[in-house]
Amino acid sequence: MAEYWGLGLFTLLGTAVVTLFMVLTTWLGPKLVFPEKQEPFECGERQVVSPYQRFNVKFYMVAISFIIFDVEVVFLYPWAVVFNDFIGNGAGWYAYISMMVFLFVLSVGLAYEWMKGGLDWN
Amino acid sequence: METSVLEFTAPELHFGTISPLLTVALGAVLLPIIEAYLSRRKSFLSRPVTRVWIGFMLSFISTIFLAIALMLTLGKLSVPQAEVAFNAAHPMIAMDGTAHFLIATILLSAIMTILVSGRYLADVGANYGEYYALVLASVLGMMLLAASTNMIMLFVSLELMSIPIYALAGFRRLSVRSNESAMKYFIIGSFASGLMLYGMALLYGATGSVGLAEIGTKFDPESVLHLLGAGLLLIGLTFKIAAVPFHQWAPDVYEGAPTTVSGFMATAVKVAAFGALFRVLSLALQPGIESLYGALWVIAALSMTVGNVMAMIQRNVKRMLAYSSIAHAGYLLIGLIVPGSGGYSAIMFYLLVYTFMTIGAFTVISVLAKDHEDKDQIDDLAGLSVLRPFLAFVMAVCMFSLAGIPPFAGFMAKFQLFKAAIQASTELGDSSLLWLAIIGVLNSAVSLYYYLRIPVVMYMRDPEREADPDSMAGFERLVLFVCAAAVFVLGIFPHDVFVIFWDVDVIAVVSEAARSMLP
Repeated sequence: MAEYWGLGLFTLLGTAVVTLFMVLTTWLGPKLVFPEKQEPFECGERQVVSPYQRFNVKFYMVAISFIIFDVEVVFLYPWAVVFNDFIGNGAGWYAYISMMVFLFVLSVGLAYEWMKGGLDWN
Repeated sequence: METSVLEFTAPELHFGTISPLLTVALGAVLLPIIEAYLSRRKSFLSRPVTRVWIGFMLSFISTIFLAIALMLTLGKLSVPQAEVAFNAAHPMIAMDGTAHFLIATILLSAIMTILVSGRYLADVGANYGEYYALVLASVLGMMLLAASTNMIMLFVSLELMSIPIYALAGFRRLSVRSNESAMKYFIIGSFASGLMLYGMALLYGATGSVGLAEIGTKFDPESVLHLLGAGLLLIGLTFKIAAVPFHQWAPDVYEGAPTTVSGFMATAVKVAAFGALFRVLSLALQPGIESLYGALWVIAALSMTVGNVMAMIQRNVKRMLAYSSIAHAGYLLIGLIVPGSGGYSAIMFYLLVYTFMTIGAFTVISVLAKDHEDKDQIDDLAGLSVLRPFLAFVMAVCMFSLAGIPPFAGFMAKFQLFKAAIQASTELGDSSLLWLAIIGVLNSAVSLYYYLRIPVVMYMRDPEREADPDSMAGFERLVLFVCAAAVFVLGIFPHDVFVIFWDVDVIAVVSEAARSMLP
């Protein structure tokens, strides 16, 4: 059991920090009460609405940009993890250039979106 | 700390082999940037930048990329044996004679589509520069699809081909029809992709490999699992060529999509999907071909019959051409189940001819578009021979050729196809192929009714409206001329086609190309 003391400390610290923040926000923060905020899952928007409504096309643009970066990261992580193995096999440049080609294609997508004004919120 | 040691050797890269693919890929990547850059400028080289000018520049640039790719491909056509692209042991793509011929056909279709798109898009108010990037991206997918020998490459290239086409189908953003077309194609297309992916998963689960050739060595035609996987894979591909019973989307999509895109979809997509069908059937499913024979036979017979019968009752030319493309998919499927390379070479010749006549017909319809509206009812063609004699002539040539009347190329193509089927049936003593050829010939006779109705309306009815001012662009004239000329030349001298300074025996090229693919 003795080796688990760290876990116990972590639990205690975690509880303490969370309690501290909750107490501090109730004490210090401004209080604006409106119905949306009182819902169990609070994010400032009403959650239960009719699906047949219009929503701003800007959200769609954000989703597209998210995909650009998301896909990039999904591929970059495993590549970075095994990159040393590639070097060990003498294929470092191969792996490096392959990924750079991929990043180039992605950055063209980003540049296109930027130039077309997809990143301007207004 | 222990590190994982990955065994990996960098494959040898043969950039020469895939140079046409790289050219198109580079074009597809650069075009959006060029478009975004130009559309932000007020003037470029002391010229005011207008939408039409941007469209012209982009079509010019994309044509250059496609033409370079076409030149590179034609240069390789004389060396039909498969070139290694990356990894000889587990090839992702096989750049053999078949691939080169199909890629050349796809590029021809794309070049002609792009040349006729500029004025049409401006005319229907959809002159956005993204069009050209989407066409190039889709062409890249088609080129890979026609050459892929691996299920993963097959699926990725199929999606790379389809997704830009979904967007292109809805390119007239303000037209309800166009939006409906894109939505329908997208939803049904995704569904077909899903089925195909399921089939691939089953095949992978059953055989343990994703390479088509390796699947071929392990394929067991007795096992339900193998056959189910093969069937689902074939459904995905027959959906793309719009064969009955997976054809319902075609008329609506072709009708709603911008006319130039419909022409592109009817030709290039079909060429690429047939390339994939060649590989799947000749490599992976060869041991099970006897079990699949019946299904393919029925699909071919149904496609011909349903396509031709439904085409008869259409009043809209684009819908009629859609049903006609379903019927042509049926004819083409005959070649697919003929054993040996004879059927494949007949299909390749047919696809080349079909590309010219279909692009020609769709281009005529796109030229007729006026005031943001397609003039695509059969009645709109009344008296066209008086109003626009050149258009009427090209349309008539394309219709005669689609119907398969000598001396046009459509006859030569059908002749090659039915000849291959009848020869195989005599050699094997199997009458089922003979019956399929007979169904095909009867269907050609049926198709005369609706194909010939168009020349009748154009030449024998009085014009119902005033003559339009001739707004045809030079490129459109060029493409129409090339289509009509190709239909004549391929029909009369298929053994001796004279292109600028080449003298090509197309029949010999396709039979050489077909042999290069078979193991």
